[in-house]
Amino acid sequence: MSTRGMITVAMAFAMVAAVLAGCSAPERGDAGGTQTVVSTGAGPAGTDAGAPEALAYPEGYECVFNADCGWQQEAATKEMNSALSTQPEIHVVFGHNDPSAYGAYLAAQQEGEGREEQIKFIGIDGLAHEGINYVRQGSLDVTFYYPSGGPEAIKAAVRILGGEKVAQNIALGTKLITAENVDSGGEEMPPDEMPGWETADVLDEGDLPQLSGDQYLIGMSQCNLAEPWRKQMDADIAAAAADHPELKVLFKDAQGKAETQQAHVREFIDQGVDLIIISPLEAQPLTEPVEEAMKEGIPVIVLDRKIASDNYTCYIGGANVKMGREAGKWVRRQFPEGCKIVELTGLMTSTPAQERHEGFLLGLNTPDSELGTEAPAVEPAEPEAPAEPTEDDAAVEPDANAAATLTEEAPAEEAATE
Amino acid sequence: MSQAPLLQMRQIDKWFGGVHAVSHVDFDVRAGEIHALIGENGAGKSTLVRILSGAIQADAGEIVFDGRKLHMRGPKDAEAAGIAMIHQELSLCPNMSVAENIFLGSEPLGPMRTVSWRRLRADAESYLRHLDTPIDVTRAVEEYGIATQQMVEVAKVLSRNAKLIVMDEPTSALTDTEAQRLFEIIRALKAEGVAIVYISHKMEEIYELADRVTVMRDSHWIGTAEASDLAPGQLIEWMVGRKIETLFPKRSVELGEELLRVEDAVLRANDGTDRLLVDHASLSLRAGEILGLGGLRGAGNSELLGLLFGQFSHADVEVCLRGERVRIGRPSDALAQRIALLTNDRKTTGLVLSMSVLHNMTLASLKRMGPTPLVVPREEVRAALPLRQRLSVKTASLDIEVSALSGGNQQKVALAKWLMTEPDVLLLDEPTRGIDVGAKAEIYELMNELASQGKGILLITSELPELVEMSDRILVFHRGRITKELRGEEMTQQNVMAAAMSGASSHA
Amino acid sequence: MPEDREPQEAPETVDGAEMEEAARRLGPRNPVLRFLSQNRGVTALLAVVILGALFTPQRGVNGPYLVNVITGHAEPLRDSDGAWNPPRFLTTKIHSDVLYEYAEYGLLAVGMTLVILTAGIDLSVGSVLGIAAVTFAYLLIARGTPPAVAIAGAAGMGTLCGLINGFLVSKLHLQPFVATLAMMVAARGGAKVISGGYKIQAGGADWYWVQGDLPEFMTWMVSPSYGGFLRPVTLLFIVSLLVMVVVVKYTRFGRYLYAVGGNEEAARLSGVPVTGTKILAYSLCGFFAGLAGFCNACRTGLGNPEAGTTFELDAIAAVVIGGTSLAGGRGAMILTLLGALIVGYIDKALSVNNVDVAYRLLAKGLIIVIAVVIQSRRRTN
Repeated sequence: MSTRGMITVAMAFAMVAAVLAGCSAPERGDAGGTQTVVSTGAGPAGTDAGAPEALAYPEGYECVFNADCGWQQEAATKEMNSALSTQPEIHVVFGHNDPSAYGAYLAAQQEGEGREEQIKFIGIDGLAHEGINYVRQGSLDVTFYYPSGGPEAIKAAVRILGGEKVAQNIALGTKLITAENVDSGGEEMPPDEMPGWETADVLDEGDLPQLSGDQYLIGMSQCNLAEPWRKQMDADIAAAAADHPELKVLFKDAQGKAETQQAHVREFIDQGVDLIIISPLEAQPLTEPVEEAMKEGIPVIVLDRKIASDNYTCYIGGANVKMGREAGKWVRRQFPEGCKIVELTGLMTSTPAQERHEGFLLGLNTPDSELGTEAPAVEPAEPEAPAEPTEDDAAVEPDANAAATLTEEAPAEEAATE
Repeated sequence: MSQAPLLQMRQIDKWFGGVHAVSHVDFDVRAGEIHALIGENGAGKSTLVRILSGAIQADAGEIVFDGRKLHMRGPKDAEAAGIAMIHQELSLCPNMSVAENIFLGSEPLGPMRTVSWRRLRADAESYLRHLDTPIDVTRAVEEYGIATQQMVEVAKVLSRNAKLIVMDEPTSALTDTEAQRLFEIIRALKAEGVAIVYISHKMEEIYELADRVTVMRDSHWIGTAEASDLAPGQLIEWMVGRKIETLFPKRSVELGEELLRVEDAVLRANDGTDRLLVDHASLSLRAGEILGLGGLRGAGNSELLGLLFGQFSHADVEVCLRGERVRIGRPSDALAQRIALLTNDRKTTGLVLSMSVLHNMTLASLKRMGPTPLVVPREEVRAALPLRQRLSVKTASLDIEVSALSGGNQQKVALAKWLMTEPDVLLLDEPTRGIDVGAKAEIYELMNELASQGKGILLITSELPELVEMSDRILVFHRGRITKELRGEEMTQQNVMAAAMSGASSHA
Repeated sequence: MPEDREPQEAPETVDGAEMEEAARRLGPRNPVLRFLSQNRGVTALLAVVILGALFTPQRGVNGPYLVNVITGHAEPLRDSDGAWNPPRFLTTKIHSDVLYEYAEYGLLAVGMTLVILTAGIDLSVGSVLGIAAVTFAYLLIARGTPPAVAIAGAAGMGTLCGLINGFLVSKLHLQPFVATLAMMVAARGGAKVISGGYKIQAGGADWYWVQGDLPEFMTWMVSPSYGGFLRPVTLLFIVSLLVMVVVVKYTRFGRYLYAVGGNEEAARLSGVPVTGTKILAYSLCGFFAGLAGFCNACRTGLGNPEAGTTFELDAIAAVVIGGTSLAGGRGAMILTLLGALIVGYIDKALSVNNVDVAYRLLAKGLIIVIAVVIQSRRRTN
């Protein structure tokens, strides 16, 4: 019996080894290179929805390690440990969110060999107590602010309730935040120009209408309040609504369940709210309830993620591709000659992670002529050295916008209805 | 009795690893016969009937049943041929209804191939009526007592058209009245031509019921005889391989001081009724005395032992122990007062089967196995080895899981656990249940030895000869009360039984 | 098989089951083989490490070493400067990393083993980790108490949760699954209440005591010391485990755990304090979850109210892979270490090879099944 048992054990682990060997063929090392880009179409996607050619890491920029950390800081630390132990050279860590980048930073720091000094850590989201805090501490080199769209949503709501017509699709930009500009609020990166899309500036054109009724009820359905960023979104909406005493906002949290969120919309309709703001969990399941609300004559503002039809009053969002793209361009400016990259992705089955990855590749593939600044030094301290944010804006913005128009041929609506 | 046998097993041979469990055994059963299969534990009878029921396959030999040679690959084949087995531990699903249990796996189907509940119920009722057990078949099995459950099991095998039913110690959990009813059913089945293979340890049952007896010993067939031709002495000789002159060792002990006095002990049922399980029982136990507590199942003797040990969380008792009054509410109180209870079911309340022999032995004495809170393995072995020797526990090592031991050896381990606590008062509830003759004799010797050391023993046993022969005095319980005290020459099986039953007639 | 047995080991008559048990225990004659066949956990761990050595890449080279050797891509083990470049599994850093990364799961599994031995289960450890991490970070970062107070707060919070679990299970006789499920939900809520829903971290809010960098203590807990191999967090895990190995094996409480898990009624009738044993087991489980929470806060540099989500499943997996029976009464603390290491090493091997998460999950599921099948085969044999 005992020998048979030993054989069983040996076979079992041979099987595991086979799995291990089978899915770790040598080319796996530049996993990012073989990854096909999924164009998801939620938000003003930068790519053509039907683009035949898959984006890849350009010549010279090598993804030496990539892992799905599911947005989790602990997972990022663990994966970064593996990357550090197998890769003698790493220049850039691109975390799909700030905790991932911060987790990678801690891994490098806890290794105790000072490698965190040689690596650039890039994060996304720029929440006050997370990303911005990490940049201020010097852990992250740069983070890209992910606007919640909350204040814009309230402005749009006031205009809609006041009888005005607002643009149907409003794109949000981002802010580039580094140690130099963190105290001045970061450098604005307005959204790329796309046909059919307006920027949030349109909401500030002209005075807000005076609302005639004394009380307006707004229903706000949040898809998952367990995420700090979404908590921020609710907080932003509440803060913006506080300036309008005639508005009363009802907040609901679907706790990550599409069914619950469907129920929320129906409850709002039933309750006879004057306007609905929704940040949908997923496009498909919420399309029908939103259309139902529109049919009932209740205007709907969709935030961050889209629904699968054009039947809504106003969409505000779409910063995911933009942020990934700015991150890619930042890497290009820092390392014009190429570099070795570790990409710690969010949950790759979720649209934000797919869009941030896609945007990052777009940014890396930006032609030199469209990068927007004079070529920086190879030994880059901070190329956007000027501490005055206004100057920075002037230097970077126009070209960035030009680049955007050139690469993003796709009509956003097409991408959106996908 | 000249017809061809219903079942013939020829030259059956079975090995388990290096152990020859069944060695060239011939066994035959006639239609409409009750055939007792007996032997000590480990003699091979269980293996033989497991082969018969298809649970395991023989290494050699053939089985001819009803004129056909059987090639069984599993219990389904045996069932299809008409052989059914009723195990000691019933194999019913307690949460399902009686009717569902009876037809489990062969439910009558309706036109849409769905279960026809109406037929299921009607058929189940008719089978149970046939067995003289008219119960509500829609209620869950667990709502009925063990005797009724056994009837459900019988109905189940009858529904499969069994021609031969193997019963493995069917009365071990029944009261005498319930057992008598089972015997009637068995006789009725026999009259209908169903053959019964009856495994039992109880001599009286065998003589009451069996037409023929087959004895196995050490995996061999020893003999088969008509029950009426087989003298009890001969039967025991076949079983143990030697003539047992005195199964019960004689002893003579000077009784000492009063060790334990119980006055008006009361135990209420914990089911919301005011029923008294122990109804103002009083007794006195002297050092060196073995006091037998007789009575039918549920009469209150077993409950009294539990009460004296603090087994019931809803009741406690005040006793006079060694001249001092003490209150016992929990087992740990009893342990502190040097009282030990050997429960009547070693598997569910006596032993922790997943623990080793050693750890079971020391479980009740851990406080002495090293400085608090430590347990020092060396101390444990030192305490266990003498007991292993004294009780001759047959085990290759003290580290073996106790579940791997035979019933008799498990019982010895349970006893060893209590002896290690060095008790003054031993409460022994069925100390020899389900163990073989040899081990029984050893336990009798041990009881006498303990008594001669000045310990007091309260003994409960359902085997009347054992009670009569081992006890110095017998108190007979009936419906929670002590109704009779028997001493000296009065202590006969007839008197005990009469006292146990007589209360019933006087109450009726 | 009986011929293998030493003659003096054999009593005059033993049951079939006993003989087989004896034969199984004695096994092959070669002492090394005998040890390995009797300690399959160790065998499995060795197999994992050896396979890991063959299938992990060298530094700067992509792909498993063995594959590279066959295809001729492997670098020499000693490069031109004479510096070693072995497959990563032959470096101490990997082992230090595995122990460090599994310290939290390990601490949870230590407590879980106690509870599972009593035939219970504790689903709440992940959430208790969360509430303890938040408590620690709140005290240290937001309130500026000394580290010792913050640690005591985390451990105390964990113990309190465990105590409540134990009370619910042993006094109110709730099923462990139900009682700890309730605690799992409640403790997560508690973590969010304490933290206000935000991660508690240096500079996170303006009223926090610590505004700038991470507190030095938290950095120290996760920085390599002791020759660069062990971090204080790792050490805490190993010491906790060793202490509990002794407690389970050599104290009355340890023995009571097995007795209660094996047969509660028989244990009670043997004078075992069943209620006390259960309460202590659950409390200790909570205590270790509290320590794990403290480690988590140090490792992540913050108190995350979502920390430890689904960790309970990893802890249970480690216990089960080690071979402790979910039915209770059978198993050992040291097996849990083996279980945690087996999972940790396989996960690590897959991670350094940069294997896709999807395949890692497949591998993990496979390992659990294989481990449990091996264990159950041993039992039925």
